Amino acid sequence: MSDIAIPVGGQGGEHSAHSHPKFLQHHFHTAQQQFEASKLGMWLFLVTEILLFSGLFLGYFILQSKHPQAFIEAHHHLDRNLGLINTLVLLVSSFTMVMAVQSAALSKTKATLAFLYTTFTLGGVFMVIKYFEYSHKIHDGLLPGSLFSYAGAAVPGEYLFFSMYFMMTGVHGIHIIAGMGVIAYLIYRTHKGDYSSEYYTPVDLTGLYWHLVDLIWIYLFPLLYLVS
Amino acid sequence: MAEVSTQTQQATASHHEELNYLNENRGVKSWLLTVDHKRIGVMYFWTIMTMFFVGGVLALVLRTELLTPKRLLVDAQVYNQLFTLHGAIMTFLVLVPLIPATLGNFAMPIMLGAKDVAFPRLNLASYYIYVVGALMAVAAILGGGLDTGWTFYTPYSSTTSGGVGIMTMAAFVLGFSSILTGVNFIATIHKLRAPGMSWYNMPLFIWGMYATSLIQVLATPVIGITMVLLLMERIFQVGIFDANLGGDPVLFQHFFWFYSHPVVYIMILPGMAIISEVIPTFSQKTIFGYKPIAWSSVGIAVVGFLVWGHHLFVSGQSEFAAAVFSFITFLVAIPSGIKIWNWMATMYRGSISLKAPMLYAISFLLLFGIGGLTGLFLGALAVDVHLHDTYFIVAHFHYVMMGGTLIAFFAGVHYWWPKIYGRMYNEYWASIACLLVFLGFNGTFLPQFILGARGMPRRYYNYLDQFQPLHVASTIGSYILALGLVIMAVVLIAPLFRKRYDAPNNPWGAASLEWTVSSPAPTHNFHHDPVITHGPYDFKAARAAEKAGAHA
Amino acid sequence: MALEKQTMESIPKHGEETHTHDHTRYYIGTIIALFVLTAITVFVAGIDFGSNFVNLMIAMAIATVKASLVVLFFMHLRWEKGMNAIVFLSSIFFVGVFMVFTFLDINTRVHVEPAGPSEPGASAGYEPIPMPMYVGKTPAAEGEAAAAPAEGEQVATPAEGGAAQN
Repeated sequence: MSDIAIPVGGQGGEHSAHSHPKFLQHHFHTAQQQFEASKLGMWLFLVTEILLFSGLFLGYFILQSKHPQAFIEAHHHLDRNLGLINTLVLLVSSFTMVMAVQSAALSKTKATLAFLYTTFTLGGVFMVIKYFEYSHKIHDGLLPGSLFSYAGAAVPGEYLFFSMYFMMTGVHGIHIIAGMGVIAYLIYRTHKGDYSSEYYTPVDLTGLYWHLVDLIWIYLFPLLYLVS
Repeated sequence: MAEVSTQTQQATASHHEELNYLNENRGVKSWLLTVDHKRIGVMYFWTIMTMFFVGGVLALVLRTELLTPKRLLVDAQVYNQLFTLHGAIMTFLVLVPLIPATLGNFAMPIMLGAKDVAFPRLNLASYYIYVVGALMAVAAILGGGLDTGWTFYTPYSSTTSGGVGIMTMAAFVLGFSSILTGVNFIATIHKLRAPGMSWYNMPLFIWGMYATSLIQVLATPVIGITMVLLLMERIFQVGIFDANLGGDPVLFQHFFWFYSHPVVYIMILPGMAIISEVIPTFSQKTIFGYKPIAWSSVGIAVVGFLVWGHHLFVSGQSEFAAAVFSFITFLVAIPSGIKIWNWMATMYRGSISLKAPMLYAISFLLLFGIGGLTGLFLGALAVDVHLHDTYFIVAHFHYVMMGGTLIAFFAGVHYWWPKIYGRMYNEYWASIACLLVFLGFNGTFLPQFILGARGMPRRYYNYLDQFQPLHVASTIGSYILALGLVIMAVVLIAPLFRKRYDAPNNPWGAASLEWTVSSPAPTHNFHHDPVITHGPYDFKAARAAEKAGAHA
Repeated sequence: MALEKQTMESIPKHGEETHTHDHTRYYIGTIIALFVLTAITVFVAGIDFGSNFVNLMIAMAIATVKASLVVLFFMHLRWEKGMNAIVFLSSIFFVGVFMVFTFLDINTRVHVEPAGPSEPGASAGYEPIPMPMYVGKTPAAEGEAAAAPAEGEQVATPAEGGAAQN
């Protein structure tokens, strides 16, 4: 994403200084064109993310349809309240993210920073709660596949649920961490005053990404915590 | 043609001292850190050709080993690893990126009238990610090899030792590279077309690239997650692909082919895209049926997603699903047929000149025709049960992948070589090479159709004595093919030692934009923003414009 | 340089675009709706609608409503160019293709899974054959695990390692 942010130097691309904003890359005619291209590129990237997760969801659906009883039994080991709190945390973080984008678009740098910090913090809260959930599972031996060592399993095949649980939340968690990394970078650039109503593409694109990660969780929450 | 070449001679005289993308910046660093789509295309070209050489040598070793039913060069275990490597290298490292990353990167922005692709730095990133993936694949070879076949079917792949883990990660990484190229191309085609370059004014090459990119974006992520799941299965026995643990091994095949069937269209669509450029140019006739060809590319891309189950006919897939997949498979023949007929109608009553690119294009029509039609046999359920996992399959997909994609690629390389390196190659020897490649290719794979129909299974180390004559014929064919490829390489590389750029701007009398700029192309592609005044196959208008330009 | 001059005459600014309008009230409405729908999801999860499949579908439907709100408002698709919407919807279509065709196979298969030593009827019920490491742990699994020693051995090496640690 930062590819879009910085003009390309070198490569014989000497630009004369006249009326050429520094964020505009040499192969675009207008800022508008560059913005639209970046945005389309981001949506295409989101498509790849959705298809990536679709493999995990399909795996979940198939294993769940084969072993419904095991999945119901196994999901009782998850803490529904923590899942709910995490859902709310992510939803709020999505809200603060979209507010950050809007503030950037309106050149309200202070508000942008405040919202970005909040979003980053909420991402952190999500991961901390996730950490406590994980360590609880690890302690109980509720682990994927061959690592599963929980003695009180009522139905054989519960390890399948935990295979899916750890893979799905794991891949999702990696996306949260990546998103937090990008938001940290945005905070740094906003402090430098790089974003304004003229140019805030990176904030906008990161917002899209962050919402997608939230959107995935919207599906993960009922699948993993609320199976009935 | 004569008229064209005299006027282009004049143009040659003045432009060869000009700066171009090859000589404007010098030094290794200017290449390694370049964001110029042309240089990235060239770097991709040489890297992929290196991998192609490795894969080709492996193929020759395999064919030589198969001269006799007994051990000749390597033992059975090594043989298994060699064919896996041949398959994995040729698909993941050669065929998938082959045309989009090399010729697509080089030519597409110029053809659109753009200065670069939409995201030049992502483009460079995609190259380095490709290199990392290739190195991981090499590491897998050195770290114990793998013998699963390039398809990594479970449960064997999730239990066998060796380099499967790192190879799956290599496939994951290579997928990233592919996705970045796809995203880049779609954004470029949507947002960077020059003024006047409407969708239906785009050369058909661009339409092919667009359809290819769609598949890259939509299918590649699934192979990524599949490889992750396979790795988890290997490390933790998560159970999703293991019937013993309550999973489903055939599910792996669904996941795998959801990507890997569309991926054969990632391979063939760019090939078709090149043919759609070469045939009109060397027939000096407007393409017949522009819109059907353009939309059939998109049609193939979409229908290609609905047919993956035909790889699972004998894997324990349900009969109902198999019948559905079989039916949809036949549908793919429609857009492919549309293309073939339109190309032939384009050639009809054109003034055909049999230069090397055209020779390869005609070879493509013949070989892809055979490959495509044998695909119909295999799409038929009952026939497939007999032919599944035999040499018939091997011959079929080599006709499509090599006879189709690679031959079209060679057509494209010969076609754009003057634009890439600014030098003409020896036409006579290029034609000889093409002839040898064509003969050698048929010599290698025609016998394999017969072998397969008689029951010779694929991937076997030894075979019944009665199959030996056909195996010998196939091996001899492969040597002729290799000779042809070596001659081709020499023909293309030899001119690069000439100091002078002797290629005219438009050696073939083509009408698309990339031939209006100097050869080799200037660093920023265009000195003035191009305005599109005539269609990509309007040869009359192109000649007139060129004449006007030469006089001005 | 010359080539730049021609193109640099006018540079429209972002400020002229639609999405710099103040959308705060939409965002607040969206987040409230999302909270309400989350509550509904949790509430509905406690109700049994008859079958596992229906329960799942209802949960997914609510999630889809929530996701649509996120996409339309937070991700601006409501105010976006049509192309981006097409791009996004295409992903949904292909995910659908992926799932529908895979289930087309899974749900229409004739099951030929080995019946094992237990009663013949039991094999049709998708009872998982337990992992080798279950052996001796869960009483219910013992009988069946013994039935598949051959496959067990292939997979067992890493699995048994895991079991030994425990």
